Amino acid sequence: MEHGNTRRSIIYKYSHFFLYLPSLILLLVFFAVPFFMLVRMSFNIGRPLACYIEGFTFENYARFFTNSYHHGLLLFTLQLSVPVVLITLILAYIMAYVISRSSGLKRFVLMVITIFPIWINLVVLAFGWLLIFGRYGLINSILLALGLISEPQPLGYNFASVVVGLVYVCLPYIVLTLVSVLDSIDPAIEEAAKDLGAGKLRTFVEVTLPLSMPGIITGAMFSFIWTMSSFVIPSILGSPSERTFGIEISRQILNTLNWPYGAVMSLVLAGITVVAMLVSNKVREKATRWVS
Amino acid sequence: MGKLKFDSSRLLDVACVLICLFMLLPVVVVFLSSLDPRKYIRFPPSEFSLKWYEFFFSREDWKSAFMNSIYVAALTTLISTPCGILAALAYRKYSFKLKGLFNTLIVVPYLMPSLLIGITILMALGRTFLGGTYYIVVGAHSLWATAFVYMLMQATLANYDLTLEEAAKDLGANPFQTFVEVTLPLLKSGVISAVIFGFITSFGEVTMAIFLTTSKTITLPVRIWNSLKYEIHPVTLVASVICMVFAAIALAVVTKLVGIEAVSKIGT
Repeated sequence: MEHGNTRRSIIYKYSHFFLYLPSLILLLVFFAVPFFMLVRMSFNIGRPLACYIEGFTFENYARFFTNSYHHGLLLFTLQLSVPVVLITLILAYIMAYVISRSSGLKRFVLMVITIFPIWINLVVLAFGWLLIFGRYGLINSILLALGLISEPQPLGYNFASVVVGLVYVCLPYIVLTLVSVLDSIDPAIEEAAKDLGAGKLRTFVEVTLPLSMPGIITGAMFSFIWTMSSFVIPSILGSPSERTFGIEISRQILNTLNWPYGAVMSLVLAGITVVAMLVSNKVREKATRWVS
Repeated sequence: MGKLKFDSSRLLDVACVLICLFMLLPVVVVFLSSLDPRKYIRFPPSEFSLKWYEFFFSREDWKSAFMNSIYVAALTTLISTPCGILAALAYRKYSFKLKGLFNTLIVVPYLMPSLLIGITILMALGRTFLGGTYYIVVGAHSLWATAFVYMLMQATLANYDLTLEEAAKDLGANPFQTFVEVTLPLLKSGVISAVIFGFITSFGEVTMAIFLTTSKTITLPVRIWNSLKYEIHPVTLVASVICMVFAAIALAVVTKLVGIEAVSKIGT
């Protein structure tokens, strides 16, 4: 009896731990161990079409740091992220501003339109854009009908169509991030600015915009990370000259079958992700402190 | 001045309508195209028919990809729902030293690019007994689904009155009875939403699945991906519409249960 009680009290004492246990096991097997294995894999001997040969070498790292073709891909992906992040932020801010300033049915409808694409998968959305940009797609048929062009123009499979696709998939998440930040701004602060004689534009630039900085920084970070790691969208909507870093990683793993080299590239991408998160945290802290 | 104010909010509304059109355009185009009976996809459709829908359900490869997706999503739900709910309960009810760390750990997989998660799991487990089975995909999807269920349940539990459990205990209920008869019913809409959320997260996931599925376990989104890469056929549109319909139903039910505001908080 007494024994039973101690056992029960132990269960009570650590019940929080037992409740977390299933998730922790899942994280261990499918997240922590695999990331450890990724690091280990990067030191194996890599030969194309061999997957990997057990061993310990730095040659994959040496190869990556001297491979100018892969540096070029990294640079291209960074260049791609600039228009994606900027356009996403502008569109998302407009949408989020309208959502947070509306209520009732209008807010509900705008929210649903924003959230719906998140629940559909990437390939379906990319397919939609393929049909819009295609040779016999929506834009070409509109232009033909209006008589602006006499035959279909090649609109898809280029830099612009990749940017549109990436903006499209980033947009909903960034809108929602900004809505929650804009919602949390006390309307009294804006009222106060207006009472003090600030115009609508000035109130926005000097009060609302700085207060929403944390959301803007988070949004910029996420759209940057997603562009850097994107591979489904650019490989459907782009041509071979829009090869992103993510596409090249997937090729190393699935086509070239050089896993150790793919592991090095993956670690570089993981590094970029972590650095982006740390930098954005720092900047966000600074912005918050500066505002308050 | 008054006119200027009027104009600026008008301008915002117009911009907002345009952005909404931008958001809806691919969805509408895919749906309308799926009804076009022509062999080559052209927009706009010339006439409407269900020809490719019949074709979809007469093709074994598409049907089995669909069934694989359902199977993987169902198993993912089975794993992620209890994982996420229990962890969220622990977060709400107890305070302990590692709480902050656990809280971060559960959502970290969602912050990591899915490309990396797919690749690491393939490298670590692809050559074990899990390789080429449904379970390797299920495990990968469960990482994300658990994070979502956890966040959704945290939002639900924020409005949950802990003293009701105390009352049940005072009235002589044991912890298990309390959980089944008090906690669960109170959280019913949250739990059902969590189930749907877990399901649709897996049903729509494509990046990890590209690395982890084989021709035997291929899911519907990966089948669409293959088709877009190698041979675009009108039946691919039907598969896409099926994905959209699942998403629409799931979103409608969850919105009805917990409200659109709670849905919008997930993952932000």
